[in-house]
Amino acid sequence: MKKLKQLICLGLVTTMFTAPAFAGVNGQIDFEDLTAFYGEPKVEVNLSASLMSMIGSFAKAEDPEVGQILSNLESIKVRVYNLNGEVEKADSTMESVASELRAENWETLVTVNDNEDNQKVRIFSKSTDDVIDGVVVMVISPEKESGEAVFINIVGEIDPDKIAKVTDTLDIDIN
Amino acid sequence: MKNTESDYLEKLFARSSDEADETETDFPLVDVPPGLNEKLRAISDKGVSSAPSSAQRRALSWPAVSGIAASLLAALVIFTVYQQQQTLKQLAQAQADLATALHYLGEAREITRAQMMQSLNQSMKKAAVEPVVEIGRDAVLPSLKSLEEESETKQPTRTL
Repeated sequence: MKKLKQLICLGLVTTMFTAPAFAGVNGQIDFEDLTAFYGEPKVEVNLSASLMSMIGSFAKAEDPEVGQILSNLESIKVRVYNLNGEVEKADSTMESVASELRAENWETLVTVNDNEDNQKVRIFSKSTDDVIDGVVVMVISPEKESGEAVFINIVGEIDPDKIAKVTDTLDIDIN
Repeated sequence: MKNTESDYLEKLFARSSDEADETETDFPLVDVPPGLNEKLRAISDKGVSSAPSSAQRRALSWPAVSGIAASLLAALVIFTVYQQQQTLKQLAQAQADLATALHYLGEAREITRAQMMQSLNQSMKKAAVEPVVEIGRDAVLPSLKSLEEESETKQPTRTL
């Protein structure tokens, strides 16, 4: 009996320490560890489910579909970090996050490597029964100011094609 | 009249202090002046009549109650307005945050779209241009041949 308890404890401890640092539950990831790599973020956005439903309910008056899209979202987190010229470090961090997401059964949707502006994009999604639980977007732009790393985590049912509709309805200027 | 009452009271208290040791049975009975009883009764009646009845109390407290109610209502209205303003501020902040999030999301989408278009164009060029050249060469060759034949046939037969 004592041995069994010890084994259970050992199993729990092992599970705790082998779990990926960034991956969370239901399409949510933890960005806190990124501060250790990049320092404090220059932009930090945290939109909770209650705020999303509030925006959704107000947007419903203008466009019921957009209101529904927003109400379906549980949270949106954005972190933007300055690279201060350390592009290689930023790339390796992005790759380590990407590999941890893959290990947590996140599916790669988009990979862009070194386009004209040497930008890199990774987009991952996690689904349960064909319903998207969350999306992670990572962008590294070395030529923007002194370099910029963007991490976005959207939790909830989301159709990427409908983002443009939300942007148009809320009159958001993307560029 | 007044003198009689005061004499009586003086007499009463003087006696009571002098004969404090004496028992109650020895307390002398004195005649109460006729005016004193009436005066005492008048005092007690005045006391009773000055205490407000419940109806009077209600009538008196009505302005106070309405004042309290009005101030409570005002406080409630101010609180509601303040809360509404806070909600609107929160909403404006949330919308700004959402705009920021969508801005960065839009950037990622734009990079992806541009890269996809570039890759597609390159693939299309590779896939389409080469066969077109091939086809073009095949298409051009017969016409050149026919031209050559034509030129051969149209050579002048007459000589000077």
